[in-house]
Amino acid sequence: MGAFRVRAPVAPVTIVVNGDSVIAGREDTVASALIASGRWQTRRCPDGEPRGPFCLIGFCQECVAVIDGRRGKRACVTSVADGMRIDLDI
Amino acid sequence: MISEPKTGGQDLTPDLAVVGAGPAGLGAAIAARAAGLTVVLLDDQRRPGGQGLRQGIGAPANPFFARDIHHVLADPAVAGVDYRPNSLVWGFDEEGLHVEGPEGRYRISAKRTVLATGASEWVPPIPGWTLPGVVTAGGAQALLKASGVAVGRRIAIAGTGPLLLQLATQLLSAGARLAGIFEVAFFGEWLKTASYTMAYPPAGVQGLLLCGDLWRRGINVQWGLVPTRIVGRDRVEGLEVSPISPRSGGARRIEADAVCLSFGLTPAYELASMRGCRLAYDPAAGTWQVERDEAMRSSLGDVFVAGDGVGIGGARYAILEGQLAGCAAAQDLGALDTAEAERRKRTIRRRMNRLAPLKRFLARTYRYRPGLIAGLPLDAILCRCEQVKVGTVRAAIRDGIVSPHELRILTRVGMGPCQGRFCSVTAERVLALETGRSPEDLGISTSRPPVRPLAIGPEEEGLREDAI
Repeated sequence: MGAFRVRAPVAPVTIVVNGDSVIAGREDTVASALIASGRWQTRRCPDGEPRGPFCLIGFCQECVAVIDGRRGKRACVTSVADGMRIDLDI
Repeated sequence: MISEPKTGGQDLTPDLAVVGAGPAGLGAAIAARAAGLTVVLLDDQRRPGGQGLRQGIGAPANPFFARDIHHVLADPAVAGVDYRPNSLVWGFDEEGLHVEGPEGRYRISAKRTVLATGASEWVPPIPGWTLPGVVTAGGAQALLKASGVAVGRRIAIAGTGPLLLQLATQLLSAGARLAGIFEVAFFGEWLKTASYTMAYPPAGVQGLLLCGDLWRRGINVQWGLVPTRIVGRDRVEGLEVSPISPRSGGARRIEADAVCLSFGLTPAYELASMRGCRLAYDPAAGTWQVERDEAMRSSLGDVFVAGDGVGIGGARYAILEGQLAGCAAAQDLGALDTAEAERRKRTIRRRMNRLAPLKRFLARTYRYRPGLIAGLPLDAILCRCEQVKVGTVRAAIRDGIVSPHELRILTRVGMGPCQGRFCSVTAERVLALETGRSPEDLGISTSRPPVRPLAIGPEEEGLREDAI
């Protein structure tokens, strides 16, 4: 059950999400790669409530993550690259 | 919190700066460049096209969409435009646009500026709408078209408007199953609204094809239903829908692994508001919009506004509004003489008039429905970022809050990272309903820079986005 890829990733790359290797396609954003791999949760609120990508067009800030060491990056408008490191606060 | 521009980004002084590379921004940039202006086109996204002309992987160009835009969609630079993707405009003042992009932070002081910032979906704060797996319908489309990812295998689509049906056929073609399409409008009302599009055949035909496709697949839209709760522990497990008229029975629960919501759009007017452009309240849409004249000029002479960021008209209409603004800017700067500029503007306006039925259809479909706000349960989260509940906002209003600004300071509504993009409109609507006063009286929540959060901290040194 859950999100799935409509077609196999073109020119696959590997990204590292909280230490786990995840295969992604060249056309993926970080958010789409996370969702396709079943990782819906991108952050949690101070009280522990889980959150995931919501608007997917750069407005809502629910998908912000540490990407290649840089804080506050929006996963939904960031293209994946081979070896990219994503740290989610979950 | 705002730091000085970093080194690496060179300040620019083009004739025209266009913010947003969606339909309106592309229209403006191309029209102005064709007239001979130097144009910088800034976009927050990775690819041009915005939401209205999003390019899919291997997807055929939609034949109903402006042919003249397609050849520059792949790369606006071919038109001679200085196109800058992944560039966030986070502020706009007398000094110009403040940009954070791959080059670093810099400023653009253009002779004229077109704001084509688009819109984001308005979603009423339904309990559970913060669960992972709940997305806007536009978001689900973006995910599918740009990255080839379907949001779920058993998807519930709820809300109102043509996007529900469009998304449904796209997801079905991709191999997903639907848990149902739940439309707020009743069938009769929906049909009457949809009939507006018949006066503009391309849209009418497109609509009929959509309905035909769903009918062939045996998918029935369920009418007069509003989503009242999204359930799940750590992610979506189901959706509860209730008849919009309580006499028609109780709530029903549907199992789903993803929920897509679409109720209308909120124009992204933050930059215009911050710069000091006058806004006006549109009671039918229930949103504030930037005031502008026939040539898309705002109350400030050197700032134009075009596209869904001003009033919802759809992609076709937005392209034309952009072109109008681009021509007017070129005329201002002497690149087009008056006769030629007027001739071009007349042609564009004629095309806009043909699209008027479509604009009426969208306005009617996405009209403000106070019923979606009035019945909100107190435990629903109104402001996602700051986790402020409907009950907290109502209590503050009953304690005597009389302006969106006070509401913001007291409850922290709209103070989070999204800067109120998803809750300010809702908070203003709740305030109007509770106080019985009009939004014009109550005023608007002020927009302040940065409109989106900037990367702050030691890691921002150099801001090397090209490494990503």
